[in-house]
Amino acid sequence: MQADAITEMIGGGVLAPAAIALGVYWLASRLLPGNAASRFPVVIGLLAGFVSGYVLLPEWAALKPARHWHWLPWLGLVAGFTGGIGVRAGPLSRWLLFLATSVAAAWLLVPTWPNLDPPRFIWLIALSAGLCVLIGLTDSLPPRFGGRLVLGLLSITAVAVAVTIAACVSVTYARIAGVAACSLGGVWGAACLRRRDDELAVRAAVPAACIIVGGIAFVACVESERPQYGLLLLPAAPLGLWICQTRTLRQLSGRTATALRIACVAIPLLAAAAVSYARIL
Amino acid sequence: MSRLNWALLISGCLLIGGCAPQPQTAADPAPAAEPAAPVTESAAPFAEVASKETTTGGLALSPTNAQIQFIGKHTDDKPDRVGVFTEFTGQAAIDPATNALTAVSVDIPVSSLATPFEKLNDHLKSPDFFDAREYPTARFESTSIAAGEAPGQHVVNGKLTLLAATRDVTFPAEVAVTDGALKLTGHLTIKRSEFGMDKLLEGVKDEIDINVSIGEPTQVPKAE
Repeated sequence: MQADAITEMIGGGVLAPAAIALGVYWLASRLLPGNAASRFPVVIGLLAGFVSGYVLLPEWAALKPARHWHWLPWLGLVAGFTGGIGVRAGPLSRWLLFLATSVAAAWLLVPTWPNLDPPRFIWLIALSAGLCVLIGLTDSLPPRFGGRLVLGLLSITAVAVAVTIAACVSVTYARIAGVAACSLGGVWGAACLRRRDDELAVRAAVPAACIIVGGIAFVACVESERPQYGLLLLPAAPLGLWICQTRTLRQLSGRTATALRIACVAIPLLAAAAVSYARIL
Repeated sequence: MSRLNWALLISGCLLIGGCAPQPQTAADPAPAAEPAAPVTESAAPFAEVASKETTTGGLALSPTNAQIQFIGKHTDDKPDRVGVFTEFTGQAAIDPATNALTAVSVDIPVSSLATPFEKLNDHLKSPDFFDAREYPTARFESTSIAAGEAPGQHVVNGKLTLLAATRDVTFPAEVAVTDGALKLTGHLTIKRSEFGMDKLLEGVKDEIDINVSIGEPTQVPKAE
């Protein structure tokens, strides 16, 4: 690979979104007023990093949607908005928000190809339900495990999605997933630097993170004439944390608990990546 | 949630609803791009086998009697990758008075591309290369076929549509018509970036060789 290509990919696809996400998070956490500062820094940082990284990609990553996956940055913004306003809402209102966001995402992301298999209406139902459950169950993780850990695991999951898409489907889609991973990594880094566990702020960013990462995994899944369903398992890996909620494991603390929690996500992540690469599903 | 939040949310939903995706008629003909400079390459050896399938107005071309082969080359030491299209339809018109080839056209569903490697097939169909979901059909249509200097040698001019671009191409071909049966071999090199296939140029060369032969069936290359 030529040096200038590597520089362009790293500069545009990795460093820029990560740095912008980190910087915007830092600014937002300092400049926003009290109530907003507890909710919005992570989601604003994430979306600033992702949208700017997406814009820095070559012209095939258009902001004016001409193809189904061009909606990803817009859906991220919508999900960020609903996440921000929903984080202080009651459970029912929040689930309704997640459902509305998921249906909108499915409506725009499921392609209208005549030879889509299974047909569009099945994908609409499946993707809406899948995204809604993914957001809803991930949303409940930060209060139980801490915002920084969940943010870190979301970042690692996005990296795994990008790498697996690159290996199995297309570098084009992988670069979009890479931008998402770096944006998540940027806000995670900022949260670690601030040494604050912004549980509420992470919850506000969960819908955007799930829609972007789950959305690009879906886009890559249906690209092939034979859908690669294994890719759809990857974004769900953070839900492995729920294993740690069992009575025995919940009593663990300290480094052992942290290692176990990371393993509960990393193992399903590696398994899903292997399933995708081997095309078992 | 406050009323303001609900109002904002409903507005957002209505906005999304208004952005309902249009059916992607990917089979629509691609818009023609600005013509590029003609591509000219040397002729390949003459084919031995001839076949004939007569239809109204010309000889029908299909994988049973023709082959369209492409060769991609890596920028490093990795071996070249050879592929063919296993589905295509076309026509070759012959002037019965002069027994000369007067026109040739072919439509190629790019999702029919085949190499010895299944994962490579999927990768080539992805947006990194042929983007088969978005641009399912490639097309070549001759605009003129002129006799060359040597007997049997011709110069084929035409328009090649690949992805969203249509470009003028020119290539030499060896042509023989005997008793209505046609044999043709031709070779051209295109720059894929001129058709918008401009990704991964750091790994796969811009130049793609295309070998066309009429008079022999398509054979999917085997892994070495």
